[in-house]
Amino acid sequence: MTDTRSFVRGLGAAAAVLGTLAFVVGAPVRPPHTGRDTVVSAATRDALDERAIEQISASQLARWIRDGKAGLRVLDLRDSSAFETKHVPSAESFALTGLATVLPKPGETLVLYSDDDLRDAQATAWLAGVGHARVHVVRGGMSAWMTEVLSPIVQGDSAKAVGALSRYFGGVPSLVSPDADPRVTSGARDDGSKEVLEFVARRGC
Amino acid sequence: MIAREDVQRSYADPYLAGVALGLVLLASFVIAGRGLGASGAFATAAATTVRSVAPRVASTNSFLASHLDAGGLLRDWLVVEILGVMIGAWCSAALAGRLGVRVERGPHAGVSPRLWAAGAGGAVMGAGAVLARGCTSGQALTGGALLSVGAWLFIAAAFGAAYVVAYLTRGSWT
Amino acid sequence: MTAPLPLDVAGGTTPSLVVALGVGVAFGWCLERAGLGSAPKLMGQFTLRDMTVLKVMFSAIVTAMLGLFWLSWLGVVDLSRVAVPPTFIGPQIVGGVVFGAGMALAGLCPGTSCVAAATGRLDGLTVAAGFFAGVLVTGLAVPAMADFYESGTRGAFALPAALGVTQGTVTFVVVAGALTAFALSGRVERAMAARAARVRP
Repeated sequence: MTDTRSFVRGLGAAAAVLGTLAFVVGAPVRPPHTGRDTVVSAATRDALDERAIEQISASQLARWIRDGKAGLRVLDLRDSSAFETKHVPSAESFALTGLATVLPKPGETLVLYSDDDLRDAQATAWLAGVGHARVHVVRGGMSAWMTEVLSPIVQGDSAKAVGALSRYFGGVPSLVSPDADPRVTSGARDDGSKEVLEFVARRGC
Repeated sequence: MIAREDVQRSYADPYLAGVALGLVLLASFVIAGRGLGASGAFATAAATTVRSVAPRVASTNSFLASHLDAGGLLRDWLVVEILGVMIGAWCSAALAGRLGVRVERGPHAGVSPRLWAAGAGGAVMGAGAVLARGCTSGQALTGGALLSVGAWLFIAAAFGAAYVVAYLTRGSWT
Repeated sequence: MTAPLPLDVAGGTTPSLVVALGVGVAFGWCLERAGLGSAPKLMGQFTLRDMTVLKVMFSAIVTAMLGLFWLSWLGVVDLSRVAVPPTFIGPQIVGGVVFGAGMALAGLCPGTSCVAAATGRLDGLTVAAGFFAGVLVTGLAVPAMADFYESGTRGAFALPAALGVTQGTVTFVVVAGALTAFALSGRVERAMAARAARVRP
């Protein structure tokens, strides 16, 4: 009987220790490592194979920011110097190891971007493991933001909407590829972009 | 206090039994990716019964349809698990000398009132388990260990109500 | 490869059913050993004379919860592939109240009624029969109360996300709460025994 009692006490002590350590580590996932030569863990790779990462386009993110989507939180995973140079409005700069401080909140939508698919994948696997319900990655990262939102090529029925979205973020929409037709893009800054769009409309495309 | 009926071996230490039960639950999570259950097996049995009498009713009722197993009753995970529960319980009781056909009841309750209360209580639990999507096994134990919000609400509500009803009927158990 | 194994539990494959049988046997064994197949013992919890139910349930929850947390941390288990019972706020509170009232009347819960029935207890068999009838009748009535039945749906909704804290914090609080409850339960049992001795010398 006394053996059982002391064994049970030992189990209780073990539970207390493991529970306290759980509080210290926070999440039941080890923080992702940084560095280029890091090998993606088997668990991460499995997770990525099975749940294709929810990718969104840069213009989708732009629409969410403009429309004030509730619970939206944008995380920039590039290094802080790249963040200082340019970043998506409202984005917060996070290193991979800093993600442990991003706690899940009900109704929140996380959008990640960087210029590195591997980093996006590690961060997504980690955030999903910690209990974030909605995590999206911007397809193409920061460079997609530059080309799709800040200097998009407008054409067709969507020209007006794309141009307006771009100008909302201070971008410069161009009618065709800049190298193909410098004549049109040269007059396309800010107030000029309106003319571009009217030109598009006149041409009836 | 030590042994009420001397032929029977006393029960295991509750903490040891609990930790063993927790390890079984953990093994189920790790191997099968799901926890334990009991009411789901009854729901599948009920849905299968309805299908054999009125197939149209079973297939158009969202609750029953969701508990029908395409492979039949004995290909359903929870039904097989509950058959295992009965086998395991029988073996354990046989080894401990606890098998015996009788009606267990409080010191002040007769056999007939005890069986009426058992049947009625069971039926009321059935209604609760349908609404809550599970019982003490599938919600409280399984969902509790997975930190599900609904499971912890269920635990609080069920224990609270049980204390109230047990207080009102305390004469029959103590 | 990470756990859980790709057994196709929903598909009812033979390996998954072998696991189901093994898990069931061990589950039934534990419940019987703990004495939870006996209605008077189970009811001791609700008359505060015997806290076995609390000790068994919370030891089991704490064990499985800590096991999952640390196996996931070690990379052995992929938590996203463990099925979490979905949350339906209103129905689960109301269902819990109804269930708890029925449990106190019946003296057993569905799982333990199977244990009691298998060991020859006729009251357990009656509870199981009543439970089957209750599930069948209420199941037939689900379309009639579909609005309430489907209300408050939150999917797989875990406490860390609901409270905005880490899973480690919730885990710690549950462990601390369980250990405190264990420490208090011994006192409650002794106090109730002393009171019973005074009332009926």
